[in-house]
Amino acid sequence: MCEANVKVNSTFPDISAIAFGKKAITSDYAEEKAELRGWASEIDSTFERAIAFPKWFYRKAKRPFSNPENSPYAEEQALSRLSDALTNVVTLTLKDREATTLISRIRRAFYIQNNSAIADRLTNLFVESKEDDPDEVGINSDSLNNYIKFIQSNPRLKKASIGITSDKNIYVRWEADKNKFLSIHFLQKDKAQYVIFKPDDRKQQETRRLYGTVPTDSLMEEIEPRGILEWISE
Amino acid sequence: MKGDEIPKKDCVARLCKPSTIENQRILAAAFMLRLDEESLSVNWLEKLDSTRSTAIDKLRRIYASKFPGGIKVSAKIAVVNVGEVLNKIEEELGAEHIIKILHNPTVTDESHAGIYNIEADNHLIIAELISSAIQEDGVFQARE
Repeated sequence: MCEANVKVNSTFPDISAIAFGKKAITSDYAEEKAELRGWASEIDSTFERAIAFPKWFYRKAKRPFSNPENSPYAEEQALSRLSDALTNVVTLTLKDREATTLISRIRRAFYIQNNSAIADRLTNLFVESKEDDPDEVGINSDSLNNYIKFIQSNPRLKKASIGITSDKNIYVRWEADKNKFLSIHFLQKDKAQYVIFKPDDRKQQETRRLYGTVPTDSLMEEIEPRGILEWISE
Repeated sequence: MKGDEIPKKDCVARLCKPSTIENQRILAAAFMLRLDEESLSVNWLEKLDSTRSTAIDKLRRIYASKFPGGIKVSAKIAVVNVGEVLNKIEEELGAEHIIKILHNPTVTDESHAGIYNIEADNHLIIAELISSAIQEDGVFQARE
């Protein structure tokens, strides 16, 4: 018979640390649940299963394996694959909870212009995105956090069109007309790409195009001198 | 043939998910690559049929078979002319940063193509320029 308990301890990740190491379970999330339609219960049940499963598996693995033919190496590999899969599930559900918590913060941030409309749009995008790709995050929480920092620092902005990129990042666009707009792609590492199309001051029939990648906290400094604040602010 | 440049007079179509559309308007987010993707997936319409409506119908059937979970009612197909996209990007970024639109057929999709050479630093401006090339009569429901 083969005792596997030592291997379990050495290969198993500390799921509780992954699950509770971040501030993921908050009252904010509870508030946002109502807006998430079926996805709140989906996220919750996946999370509960992911937390419960290691306890069950650990208890089972501590008992001697019934098949003495199993090599310790094969068991270790199997355990490693299982622990990776579990870590992925827990990480995914935590990321989704982070995103929904952030959306909830916007909903309660009354000082941000159009905060409810923005939160509604983000919630719809989250749900659409999860329906399209259930095994991926709904919205990348780092990109969303980046966007929120930007609108918190600039709370008088008009409501922009908001979309989600293939990488689940936030894309926003303020448009005065087809050749006069600002778009921003909020990346994951406190950076943002921007594009400005605007009529050329000297040749009105021509369009000037300006673009670049900057840290999010200097984004407004970068775009303000371009003379676009008047049409993106309330 | 695989790797051939798609003629400038021809058009390619891109499936746009509902999360890239607001108020019926397709956003540039629809033309942004994933970090791990080499090319932006499109379909060569003239490879499917010389008539636009027939080509779009065939494309819908390809999408339906590619996505067994189904295509959402609100998803759209955006059509752009290859020459117009290449000209816009060359004019803006210069010839050294020009993208390539190449035929990349698969076993199940003979019309599959890709937009290559999208550099990370120019990701957003390229997506905006492609979306600005969407033809006025070039937006269709992705599902009938």
